[in-house]
Amino acid sequence: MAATVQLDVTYGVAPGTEATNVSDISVGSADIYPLNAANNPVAPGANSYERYVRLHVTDMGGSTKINNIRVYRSGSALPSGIALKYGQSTAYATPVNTASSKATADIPTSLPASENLFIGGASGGALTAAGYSDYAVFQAQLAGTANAGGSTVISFVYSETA
Amino acid sequence: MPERFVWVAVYKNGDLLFQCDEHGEIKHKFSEIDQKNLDLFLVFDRLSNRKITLKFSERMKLIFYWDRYITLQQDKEERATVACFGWQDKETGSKTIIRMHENGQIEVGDE
Repeated sequence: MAATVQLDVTYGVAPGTEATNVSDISVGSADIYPLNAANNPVAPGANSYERYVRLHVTDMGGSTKINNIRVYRSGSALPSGIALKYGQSTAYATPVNTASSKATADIPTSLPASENLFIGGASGGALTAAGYSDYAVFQAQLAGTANAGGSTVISFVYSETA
Repeated sequence: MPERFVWVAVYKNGDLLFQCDEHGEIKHKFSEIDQKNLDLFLVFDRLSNRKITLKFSERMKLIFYWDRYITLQQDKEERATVACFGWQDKETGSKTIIRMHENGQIEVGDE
């Protein structure tokens, strides 16, 4: 049996509230979950609230190791003036809608060659029992000229050894 | 859920070590493979019955893992697995990895 792995979102004032086994990590103008992006649009010139997501291994299922987590986006280009920023953090902090100090790089647009979401705060980490990755942090940043709309495909990829 | 991509180790004396049983349940770990006596390493796609065979040599250190994809698009989630296997050259340190996708695509590359 493969390991059982899910995505969990943490939101709200630290230490935060956790939404478990999610399939939607939309960002918007409110720090809530679930979030309907159409009802919580980000204005041109503003930023979304940060979104904190982590990989959660609930059962190793007979596997010995999970490591090498990579996060990227794919699909069509984002509308003009919209940037999706990505970073990681070992700890949760109350999400902000000012420019993130954690999600500072453009999210990769193809599978990264090496891990960009760590386990235990450093490259080379692995889970050998149930546990969590560090937090992936996302934020949409909009120029004043940004066009409305925009969605993308986000992938979390991990290696599993049995 | 049963594994779709599984391996079989074939030893020089003809003995076989199957990673999974006929139902795709894992019975043996990768670390159990005796690489000193390995002759062939086979990876099967149980759905399509495709297989790839590696002829093993003493210079090779075997590699096998799965890359698991969790893909989110708006409120939809899809999952996929890619079997990743190959070897590291013990003398040069270079790695050769074969990636076997669910859609039948095969990639071979260095790592």
